Amino acid sequence: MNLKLIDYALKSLKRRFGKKLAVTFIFSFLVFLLVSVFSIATSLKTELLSSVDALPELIVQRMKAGRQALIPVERTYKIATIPGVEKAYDRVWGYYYFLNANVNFTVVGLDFDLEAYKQKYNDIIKMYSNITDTISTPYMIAGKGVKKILEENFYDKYFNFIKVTGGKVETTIIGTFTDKSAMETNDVILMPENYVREIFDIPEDYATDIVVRVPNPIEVNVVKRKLQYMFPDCRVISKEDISGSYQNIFDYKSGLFLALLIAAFIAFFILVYDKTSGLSLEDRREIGILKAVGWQVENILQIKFIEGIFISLFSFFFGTGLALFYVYTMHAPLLRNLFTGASILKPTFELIPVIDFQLLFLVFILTVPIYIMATIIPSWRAAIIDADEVMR
Amino acid sequence: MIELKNINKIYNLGLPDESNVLKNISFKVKKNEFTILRGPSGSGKSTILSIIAGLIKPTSGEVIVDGKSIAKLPDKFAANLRADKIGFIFQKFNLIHDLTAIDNITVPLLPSKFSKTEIIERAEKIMSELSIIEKKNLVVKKLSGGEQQRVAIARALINNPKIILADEPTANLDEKLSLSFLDIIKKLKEKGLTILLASHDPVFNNLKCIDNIIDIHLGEIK
Repeated sequence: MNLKLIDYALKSLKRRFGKKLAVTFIFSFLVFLLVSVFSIATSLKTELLSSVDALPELIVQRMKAGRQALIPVERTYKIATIPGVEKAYDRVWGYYYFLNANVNFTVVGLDFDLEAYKQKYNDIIKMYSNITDTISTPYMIAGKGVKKILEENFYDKYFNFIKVTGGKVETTIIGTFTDKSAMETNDVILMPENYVREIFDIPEDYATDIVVRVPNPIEVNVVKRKLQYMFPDCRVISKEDISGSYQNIFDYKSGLFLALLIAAFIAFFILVYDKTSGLSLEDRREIGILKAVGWQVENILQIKFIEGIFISLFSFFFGTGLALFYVYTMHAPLLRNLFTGASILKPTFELIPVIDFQLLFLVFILTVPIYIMATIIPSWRAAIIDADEVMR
Repeated sequence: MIELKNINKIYNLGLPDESNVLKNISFKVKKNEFTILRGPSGSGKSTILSIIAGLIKPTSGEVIVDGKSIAKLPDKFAANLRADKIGFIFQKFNLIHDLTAIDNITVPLLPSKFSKTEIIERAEKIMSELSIIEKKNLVVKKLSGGEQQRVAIARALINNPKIILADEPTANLDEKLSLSFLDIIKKLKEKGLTILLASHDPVFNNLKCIDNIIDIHLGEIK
């Protein structure tokens, strides 16, 4: 590439600074919008998939009058004997409504000596084992969102749970979860099981639900049917059911965004159409002059290509950088709420940085080459006409 | 050096607004000659210059420039011809208004293999000869008409052409500047360039340096 032509092209951009700045702004905004949406979507999808992956194959919940009720622990032992079932655990947990902040916390009871629940809870328990082994009073490990809300309400070291039966359980906050999979663990409080039973008044021989591990995926539906026969008063939820409902919510939100993106694309293509449909008189005159002084058509196309590539690449990288900053540093105000809902019943969460290079490439392909073509085609049209005619 | 044989040019051929602007034009301009194409506005002078420069193609006839027939030359070769052999001074100068004087002058050589330093040295030398070196970094739209014309002349000379084509070069100048332009043209002739100038400006009447005058009227040589 001729460096003198690059220099000329850059001077040309400088000469039309106002016009080019407006194009760069629109272009960058479109890229920003696309990358922001895709980044939020990718991040949420990664979160949801990891949450679903960590779920047990089956969850058994007892229903009474259409509401979830406590389930006898003895059923755990019966379930464990079903062929195909590797293990069954009874879980003790509940939603705790914190009036001051108008949010729900998910309080999960763990027997810290047992292998149970999700792998990530076990990791957290191991992380705090030196404290949990020695402490004899009630304590909790809080999700990041819970910790933040508690601190805002001046509970930085401990929190008083109000029991169903009245009275309080003063609980020391010994630590928080890491950022990883914040969406899933953000509203969670991990506590020793006996204190959770005390708060929610759950008797020793009852649990909230029972989770069932079925290692062979082909057997999951068979085990599910068996459980429904064995316990007609129970609802059996599979991992697929949960994954499906997550996906439905996500697809619904994605649909809303698709409409937004279509509108943005229409705006971009109007810009492109406007460019391809003609050059300004000044641009046509300049092309005529360049031809008249001995430039080849390919020289003219080269400078237009350089101009196009400079604007489009700058806009692409600027828009992408801005979007990543907006999503992962500023936590995507406004846009995130459209995806996840602005509900205040759960503490907010932070998006995990996940950069999907395939999607970035898709945005690149949808914008940069189109813009370059839109720059080159009208210039080519003007450059192949007689210079004399173009200058008139 | 330049030879036109039975040149015809019809614009909008076959359309209701068809116009035959050149009719069987034939003439020769020898090397180092200074020739004036004289005639009123609309007589076809500019069209003849554009055909010689390869900016437009004649409807019929033959054009020979420096021994080569160019009438049917593809666009790419016509551009090469302009880049190598022809310097064109346009009636309205046709400068790029928001570029500086030196940037306008160097434009023809940007696609060439000359280095940027060589091109600038060459441009500065010509600007000095034309007494506009102090204006080199000014944007041309801020220059006077005479200065703009000198920039246009400098641009026409930057590629060391053998032929200078000038289309009504004094149309936008007062008499003093027109005479000054004439001095420049004389010097170019002394340097051995072949000059074909289209004008109906009386300033070119009865000049000793002019070798030939071709009178054109309504697209025909009188």
